Amino acid sequence: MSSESNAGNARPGRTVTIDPVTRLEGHAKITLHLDNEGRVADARFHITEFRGFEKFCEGRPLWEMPGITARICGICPVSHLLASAKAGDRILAVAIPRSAEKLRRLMNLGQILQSHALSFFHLSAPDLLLGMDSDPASRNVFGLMNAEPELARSGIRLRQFGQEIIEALGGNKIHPSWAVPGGVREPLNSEAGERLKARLPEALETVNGALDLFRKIASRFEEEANALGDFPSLFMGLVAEDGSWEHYDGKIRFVDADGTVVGDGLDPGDYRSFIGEATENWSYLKFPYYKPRGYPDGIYRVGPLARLNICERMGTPRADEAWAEFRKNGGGRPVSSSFHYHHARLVEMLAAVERIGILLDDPELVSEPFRAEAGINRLTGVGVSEAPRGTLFHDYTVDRHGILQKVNLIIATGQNNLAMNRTVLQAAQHYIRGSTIPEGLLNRIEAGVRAFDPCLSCSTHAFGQMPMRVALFGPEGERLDERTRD
Amino acid sequence: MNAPATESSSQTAGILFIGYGNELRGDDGAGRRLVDRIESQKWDNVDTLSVGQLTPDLAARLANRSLVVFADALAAPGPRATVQVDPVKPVSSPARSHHCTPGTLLALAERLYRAAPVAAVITIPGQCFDWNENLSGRASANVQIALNAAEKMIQAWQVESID
Repeated sequence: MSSESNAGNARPGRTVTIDPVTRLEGHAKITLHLDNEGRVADARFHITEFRGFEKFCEGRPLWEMPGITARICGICPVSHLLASAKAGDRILAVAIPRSAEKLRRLMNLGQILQSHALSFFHLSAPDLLLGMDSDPASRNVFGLMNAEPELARSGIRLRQFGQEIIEALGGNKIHPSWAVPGGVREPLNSEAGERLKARLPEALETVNGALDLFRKIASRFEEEANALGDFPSLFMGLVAEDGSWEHYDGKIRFVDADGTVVGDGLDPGDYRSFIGEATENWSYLKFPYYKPRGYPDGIYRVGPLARLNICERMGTPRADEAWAEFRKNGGGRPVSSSFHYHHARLVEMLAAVERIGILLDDPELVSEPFRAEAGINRLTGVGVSEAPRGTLFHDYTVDRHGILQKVNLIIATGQNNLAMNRTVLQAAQHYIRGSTIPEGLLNRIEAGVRAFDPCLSCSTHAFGQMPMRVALFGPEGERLDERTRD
Repeated sequence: MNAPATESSSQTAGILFIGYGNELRGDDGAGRRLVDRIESQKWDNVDTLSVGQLTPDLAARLANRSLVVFADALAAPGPRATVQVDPVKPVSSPARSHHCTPGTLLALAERLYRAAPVAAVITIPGQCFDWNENLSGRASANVQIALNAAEKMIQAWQVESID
């Protein structure tokens, strides 16, 4: 649970620290800087874990990279696996077999499904169903199980279904090194395909049920929708050639807050021409921005909300209907509140289930070959895919033997860094008044960050657990108090 | 491992070892190395699972087991820290992140599936948690100690089950 220094009193001219932010992947802290009137003047979302993974990869053979990078994170290994394999495809300069692309797509859909299921049913549903002012001691998955046991159970089964897809393809559900430069190692066997098909109706029912539930409760959160990260920004992601929702390939599109396409058909391999990376001395996480607008005006968001804002349709019947309903939240413009990441995840889960069904019926899924063989034909390659949390770039430079000379990873959570900071500031300014901070309000600030479902392990490559630190600073920056809990 | 008595096999069926940690962070992967060793020795009636972190869906895998043993690295141990085996009880604590603790997983299994196995956690003190795929000398030695402890634990479990 969150913690707040100085027994719930935000004293003027001091800094309140919430550390760590709970129900996120990895660890972070939030500091709220109050002015002399006790109003929130500034807010910062700090990432404190050291990163160094790119350096660690230097000297490795290109062919090992999918397996290595997949081990960055226990939650979204497939995202790294696919982006890495795609960077390898570029370096081999091959067009992979169609069957291999479809198999990779199937695995990515399983990944999106399992990750979104975890985010919605276990991390966010307690806030949404039990209420943000409910008892923090029970505002968690166990409280959810008491209130909605079937929902909690079906959420676990939905995540299992996504994991089963990954396992059926990769053989090892957590860190499959199944995708390789040039294609994939194995196809899906027919028995596993039939088993997965048999689970589709239940998965569809679970997602539809969650969407129905969200429709019922959404009206309770109008204030949160307006205060938790509702601001103009750009949105970025991949779109298919026909403008529909894309999760594996396609071109990059930027859309502004009015819905105007400001960048389209951009080659992900040229990302350096349109994405800059700024740094701040108070966070290890970089701050990517859209270069043509500069830093920080080039703030953009990625992930489910962005993907649904930049596409023109989902591409499957039920998801198209759900997308149209979702886009009404924006009143003809892109949906601007980060609170709606939750809704966007549900629409994407529906699209994923529908597309999984289509792929499982595709005879090309078992058509050989599954891998294009080639040597090193280029010395650089950028691989991109849509991770559950947003667009993921792997940029490799190799020597003529395929040994990594340089690695740059641009992670979805990093790309949302500016937006998460803006969200925290807006939420804090809206909810914190005077000298008392009720727990429910602190939780809303955290919820603003949770909406992004940030994966700090991915973005900083953390290990283990870090202790919680609560620090209180005076107006001159002096540390007044600090508490630690393991 | 010495082959357990055949008649006890059915009574020890359903033992699961879960090693977790990040193998790219040196000794953080010690728990996973332990279950790799167990897997390679093909202990009777023992399944293994090696994962980056504990996630809620694993609750379903626990539910039909008689015994579950978690294996994790211990970061920043004191100089005298040794391998420890401790019982795990269900803990209905709030999920702080995508990670679960062993106790939380047990509680999830108990609440969702009305079944919680007997559980223990083996903690393996490490020394170096930098970017590295190898274990330190201290962690390697501790994995061997943990392996011996795990073997004794399973044998004792079998005897208890027979009794």
